[in-house]
Amino acid sequence: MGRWSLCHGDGYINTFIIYGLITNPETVIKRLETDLSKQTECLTSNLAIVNFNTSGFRLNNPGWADLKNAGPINIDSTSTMFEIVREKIKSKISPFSKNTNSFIRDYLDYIEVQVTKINISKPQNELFDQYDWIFSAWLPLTHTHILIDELNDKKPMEFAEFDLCYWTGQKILCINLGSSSSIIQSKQRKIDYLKKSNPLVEIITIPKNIILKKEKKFPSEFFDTDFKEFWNGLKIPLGPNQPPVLSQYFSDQSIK
Amino acid sequence: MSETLSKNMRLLDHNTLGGFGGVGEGMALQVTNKGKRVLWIAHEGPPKNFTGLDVTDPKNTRIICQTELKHQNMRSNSLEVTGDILAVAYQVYELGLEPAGVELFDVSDPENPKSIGFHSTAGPHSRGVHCLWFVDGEYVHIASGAPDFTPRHPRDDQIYQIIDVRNPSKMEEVGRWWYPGTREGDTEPLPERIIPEPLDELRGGDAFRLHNSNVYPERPDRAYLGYIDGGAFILDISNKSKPEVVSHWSPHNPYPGFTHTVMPLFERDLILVSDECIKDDAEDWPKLTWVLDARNEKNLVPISTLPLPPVEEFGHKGGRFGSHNLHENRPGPSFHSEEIIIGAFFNAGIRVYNLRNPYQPELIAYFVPPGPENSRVPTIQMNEVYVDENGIVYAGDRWAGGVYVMEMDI
Repeated sequence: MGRWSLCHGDGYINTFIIYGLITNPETVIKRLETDLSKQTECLTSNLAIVNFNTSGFRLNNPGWADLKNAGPINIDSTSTMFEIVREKIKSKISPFSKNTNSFIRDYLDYIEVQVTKINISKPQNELFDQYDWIFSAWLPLTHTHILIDELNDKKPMEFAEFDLCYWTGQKILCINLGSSSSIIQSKQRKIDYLKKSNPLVEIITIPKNIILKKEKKFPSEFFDTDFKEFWNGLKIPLGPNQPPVLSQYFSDQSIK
Repeated sequence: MSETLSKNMRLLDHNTLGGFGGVGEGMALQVTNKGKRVLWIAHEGPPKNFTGLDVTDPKNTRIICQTELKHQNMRSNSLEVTGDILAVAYQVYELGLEPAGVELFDVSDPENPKSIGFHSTAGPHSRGVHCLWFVDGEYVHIASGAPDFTPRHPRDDQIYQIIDVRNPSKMEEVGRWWYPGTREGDTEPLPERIIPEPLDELRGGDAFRLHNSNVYPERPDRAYLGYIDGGAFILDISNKSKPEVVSHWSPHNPYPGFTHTVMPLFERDLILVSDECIKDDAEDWPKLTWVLDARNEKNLVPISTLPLPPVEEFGHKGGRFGSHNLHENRPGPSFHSEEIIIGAFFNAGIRVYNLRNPYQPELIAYFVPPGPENSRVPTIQMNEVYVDENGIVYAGDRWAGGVYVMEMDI
């Protein structure tokens, strides 16, 4: 069975992120191994491979969800499409993870408010409105498992686990949602190893009392401007069902 | 069984409690203001009341206190400590005997516990308190008979009572609840026995009485009850004087009864329910620990059970085999996890499960020591387990083995 190294000689790093509703992340990698050996980046419904050259993952990225078959709904507005995206994201959260569910709910509400802050100048305002930018928001990869070791046949794969992460094109923002659970040694050891070995990783821990606050509010204070103003550097808003050619063109144009 | 079976657990110390190694269903950890760590241990039966074990160095534990019961016809099977207050349950072996109830001790000087209050539940139909829960310093939740409670069936005698202990010298009952139909005079019919036993045996298993009652600071308006053959109950206790049923779930029958612990995992909307094994040689197999989907607390749905080792391997080794006490995520110097579940399974020892996927709980560690000397049965009978905030596991053998101190490598 072919395997690949995470780190190349020049410091180029492929980070394998398994996410969504999965029971065994190793099976996801093994299942896709043949295809993966031909690629250095991808985004599928439960796997992402990122490196320094990978553009950030946004809601409008193809691959994470099949929105073409979103159901027998007339998608006649951006808000309807966003509702479908919202449901797709929710479908990747365990029903037994209240903290992740409430964080994602608050995040999606938050970005709806954020887009109202965008100034759109002519002639764009004749083509787009503010709400169209919503699909440029960062894509949450829930129940994140990041492969932490060399891929080889000799030992079981090991993964560092987080409640979710975002890939912004510069950093993998790994989010720990405060829990009252005592962290176990093996979990902490893997997180420490990842932090030490992968320069792309930044860990954000949001305390339990913030998560459990009764008012439904996204904890934006834990995120920087690049995260909050996700439209910066982009030329036009793109929807999630974009043709691949368009997607590639504007991806190349974006400022990382 | 002569050798230890273990996986990802290592014995740090073993203390037979001065030859009184029968451990009941109570273990609680106190950290004194001087940093001393004292594990308070309830005993399965007389002559000892409770033992204080200095576990500051978990590799070198030592008894610093061991007290005597008032007489030999009673036991103190359960205890809890909050801050420097120790609550001890007194249960008697014959109806009407005393002392039966709850005693509070000031253990700020753990070598010299001082009694600061007693609440009696003695009465003509009462055996006193079997189990108690005390984590907020204000209320003790007990499974007990009461002076004014007459059960229709002699074994339905322990009901849920909430005792206000804010003034230890004047404790008072502020609320109670019992399974409808179990009290003389109830309009509901007496619940049908799951596996009827002779009426002359007071300790028989076919009972609709309370075992554990858990109330957590995350939901002070909810009590989670293990009501033996009655199954699991969630009560609304926002008005303590009038508890009301929110929901009820029971696998009995066809399963053979004795719901013991009902433990919610609040961040995951899950509930664990253990059914205690009460018969030797797997006569009441299988005694399971159930995982319930509690997203809708009014409609609890079983989704899995914690996997037990093969009955053909453990069922006839001697003694009991199956579920019993769980580490209960109580507040204080206590391990808290909604993914790692630790339980005492009698002759299957202490077992640790990963519940990350609640549909498929996974055994990740266990420790099964040899049967202790002077035990009534040839196997270990792990009866109780407590895990501290550092992940050190304290487990007690029911008959003679005392306390086993372990660390987990998980």
